Amino acid sequence: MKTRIFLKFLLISFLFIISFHSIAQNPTRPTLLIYDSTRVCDGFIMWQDKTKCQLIDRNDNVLYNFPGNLCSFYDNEKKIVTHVAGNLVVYNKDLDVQWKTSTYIDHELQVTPDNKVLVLSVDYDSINHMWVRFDAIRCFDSTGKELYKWSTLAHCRYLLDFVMKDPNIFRYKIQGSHDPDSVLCKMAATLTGIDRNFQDRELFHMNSIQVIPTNESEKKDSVFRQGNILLSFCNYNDSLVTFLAIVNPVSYKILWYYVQKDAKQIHTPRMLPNGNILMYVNSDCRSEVDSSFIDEINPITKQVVWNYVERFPKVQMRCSHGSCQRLPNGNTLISNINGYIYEVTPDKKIVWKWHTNDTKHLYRANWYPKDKLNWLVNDE
Amino acid sequence: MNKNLRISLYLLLAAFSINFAIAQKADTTFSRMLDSAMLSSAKISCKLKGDFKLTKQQDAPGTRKLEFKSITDFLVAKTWYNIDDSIALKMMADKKFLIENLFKTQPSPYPDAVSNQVECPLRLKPVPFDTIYSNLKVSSFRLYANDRYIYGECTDDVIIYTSAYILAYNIKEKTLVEIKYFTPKLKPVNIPEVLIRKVR
Repeated sequence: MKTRIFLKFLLISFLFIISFHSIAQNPTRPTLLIYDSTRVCDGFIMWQDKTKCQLIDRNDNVLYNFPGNLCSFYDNEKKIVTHVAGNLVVYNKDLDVQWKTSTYIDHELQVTPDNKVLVLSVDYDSINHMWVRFDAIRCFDSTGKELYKWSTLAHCRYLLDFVMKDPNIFRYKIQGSHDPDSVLCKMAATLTGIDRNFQDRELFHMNSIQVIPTNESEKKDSVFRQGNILLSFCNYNDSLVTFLAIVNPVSYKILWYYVQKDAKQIHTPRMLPNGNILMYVNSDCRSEVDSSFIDEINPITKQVVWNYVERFPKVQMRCSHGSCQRLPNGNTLISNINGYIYEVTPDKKIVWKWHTNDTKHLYRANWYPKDKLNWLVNDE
Repeated sequence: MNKNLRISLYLLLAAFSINFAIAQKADTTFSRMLDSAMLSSAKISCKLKGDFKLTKQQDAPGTRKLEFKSITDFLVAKTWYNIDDSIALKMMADKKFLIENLFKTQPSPYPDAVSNQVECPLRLKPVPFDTIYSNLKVSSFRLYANDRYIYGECTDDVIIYTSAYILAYNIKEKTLVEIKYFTPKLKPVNIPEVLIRKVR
């Protein structure tokens, strides 16, 4: 009897040790799963998580680690632009800081073709003694001087009027006054509850900016002309249906929009040189569809012209994160919340696949041509 | 005092700060160590000796970057000359800020996202130490690096080097020196010993 109890004790101890070990394990390096060197688009991959941005080559050699969780480059100045602990920071490869300015950046940091930095930052305001979060687009010049700030708080009246016109976008009817403050306050309280984290009280959540490059669609409709701005608004707290908007870069008036009813969130929508828009779409968590997908749409007809569906195993969080990028050879680079980065051909064959076990925060992956980052990777 | 000697002196002093950071000894002990370093400075030769060779020199207005290599070790020293106190101290603070944030978790873009992320093990995070001794302000870290001398790795299998990262500002001479010293992780000696032996 005593032996059996002792054996049970040993078994339980063993299981406890095993489970503890699995919790306390050290990080492990990612795994390169597929590499068809004849069909991949040669270049470097920069992936981003909560801690840093990391530049790797196609064999998973680490070429550089960048402090900061959102990273981009000044094309011609050999500088890195990033967000570090509530600061927009520009530094060189030796970590010599060129300038630094305090701003909390969420989701997006883009260097424009004319060397400005566009970021999505977070704004808070107290409405009727309740904190409400808004997003703001902030633009900085190459010396760190802020050129302008466009806040969804300052333009909430315009945005509310816009979304309430289309029942496909706005899910809720506003009762009573249409005074902006009153509406916002009521919305925030109704949708999120007083006991929820104040960060959730947000009506217009943006997660992506692109300054539209030259493209084929601008020849057919000036809405899509180079220099206009493509924004993504998320269904963040069930107030809105996810939609994309193209806005005027000066007035920020909405010129075009695209509603994605089946989506929880859209990530990295990008106007392609062929005039289509490529986007990563998380399916609506309330549906039974257990997938995310990549859509390429014709923005004039709003029809899907290419699509790739990701089939996920059942995971707790499948309704956020992800990115996609069309590569020069026509392949598409995709990253997802499950820690995968992979490249698919137009005929949907995976030619490169990489996986990390250590993160559920793999936020984005970006491809860069080798010659663009020679200054960083080689000893120049 | 020529420039190489100054670099060597900074290296020696900073090495003690690294040693202190690792050993976490009391301030009084550290002061004694620095005193002995100053006393022994007369023994420091004007050039890095041992098997180190100067492999690269880059000069730009106000700065000089030197790289030294031995069979196993690598040392980069960058010097800024005639630099104001406020600028030098800001540069030190900025570089420390970036180094430290290479290992810190930033807020997630999606606050609702859950994670099984294993953070960087404490033993691989930077061990910092700051001090001011006489005219010298020193900030230093013990770090680890991969095969390309890149900091920020948190997995043992890609960590190849142990590194001393040292920023030293000579307030009197208005000179800021940044030293990155890399020695194989498995080498059975500690960094300060190596540095001291090789700069003498």
